[in-house]
Amino acid sequence: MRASEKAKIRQRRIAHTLLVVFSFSLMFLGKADFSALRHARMGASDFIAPFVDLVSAPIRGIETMAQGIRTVASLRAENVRLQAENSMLKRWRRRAEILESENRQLRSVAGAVSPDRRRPLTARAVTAPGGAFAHTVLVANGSEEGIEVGNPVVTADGLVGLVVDVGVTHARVLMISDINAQIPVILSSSSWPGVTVGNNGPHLSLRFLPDEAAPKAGELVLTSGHGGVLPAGVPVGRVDLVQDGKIRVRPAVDLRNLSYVSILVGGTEGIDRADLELGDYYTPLPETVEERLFEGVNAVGERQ
Amino acid sequence: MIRSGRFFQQAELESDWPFQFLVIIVGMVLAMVEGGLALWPVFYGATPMLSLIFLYWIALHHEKYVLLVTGFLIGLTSDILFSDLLGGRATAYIILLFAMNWRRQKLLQGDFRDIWVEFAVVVFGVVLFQLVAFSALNLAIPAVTPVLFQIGVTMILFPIGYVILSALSFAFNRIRVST
Repeated sequence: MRASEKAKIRQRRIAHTLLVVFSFSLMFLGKADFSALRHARMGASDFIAPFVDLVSAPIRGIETMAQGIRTVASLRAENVRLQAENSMLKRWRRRAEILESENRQLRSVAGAVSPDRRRPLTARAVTAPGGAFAHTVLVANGSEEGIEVGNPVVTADGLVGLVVDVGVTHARVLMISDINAQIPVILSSSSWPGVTVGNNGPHLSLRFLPDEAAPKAGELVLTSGHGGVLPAGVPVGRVDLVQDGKIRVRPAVDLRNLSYVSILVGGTEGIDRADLELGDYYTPLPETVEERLFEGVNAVGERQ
Repeated sequence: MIRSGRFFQQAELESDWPFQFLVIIVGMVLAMVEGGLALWPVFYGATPMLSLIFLYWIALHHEKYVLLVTGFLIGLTSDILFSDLLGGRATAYIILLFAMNWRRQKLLQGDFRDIWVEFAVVVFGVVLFQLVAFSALNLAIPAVTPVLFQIGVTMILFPIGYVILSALSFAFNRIRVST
């Protein structure tokens, strides 16, 4: 073997070793959450997202076609169901108008702060969770549209998640089903506070509920507004199963079918978003204290 | 007069570089297709690893077109698109390519069943590596059902992918020979 070939082999071995070391250390660097790496990752996402969008166009087309076929097949039954639903919604609308007026009057009496500080911005979901290790979606709006880290993401049905990374043209949304998502919530009927935790699966688990709380299957779980990151009163899901002290929640939004979402822009003033972990903003009240209701907390979760 | 020396060596017209580059691009596109497939509710949270099928096939039959950096870049694309763990799949793919160098000759002497069984081990290995790294760094274990679903779907799709890739390779070779 010639000396030049030997040198080439040595160089290749060094390059391979460096690549393995770099790739391995990338996992730790990524987890250490360095700002530069975060920006690089979001820059790469900004670059890749249009290509993903292009590649997924035929896949989306096939899905639309399949949906169309399903819809045509069930058109008559769907029409009957929609008519019944429409009349029911009309009744609910009248009821909502009455409640809204009552709510406004009560707010003016109590002097509560209105949580309407946020502006909804519609964004298209470019990707969906494809792996079992993260439940995030890229949406086709970024800092150009005024999106910031910490903005809540919702649909008409309820909470989808929270913006965790913002690029120029795209943003990454951490979904409530992700293992790192911890949402401070309350039970709708009893107002007991708790935290929903994702597990990268289809359901969430409800934790840190006081012993006295007795959640029932079907009970609505709403955001509590603790910490002010998320607005209070947004549906997170419904209690699905209560067994052996474990409470399972089915998300209010069908996270498998996300085409468009609303990002609630604004309303994060005064919140330190440099290292946003929702769990950090929520401290369960101590077990020994008798008063565990929301005394001293206003509608947006601020302590008064 | 015989001219010798490095400046008179025959030009290397049959370079592997364009094919190596093409393999990287195709792998990255397949990783993006995985992202697209996630839009189907049936594959929500657990898309088949098409890029792994491609990487395994190409490393088995056309090893000279696969560099370590190929595995790294394809894996990194997947990581950027849908992983919490940047570098998790990239490292797993690099380890896969090392393992393939070691196992290739034996696999090529066997039949398709051996290749499929070995692929099942590879899928388990790649997912297990990610699972262990993820659990160690997050101190939490994700839901196992989507992980198993992903492994199962990838294994079922492997024969289809294998046949398609072999047919494409055959057609491509015929075009090359005829031109």
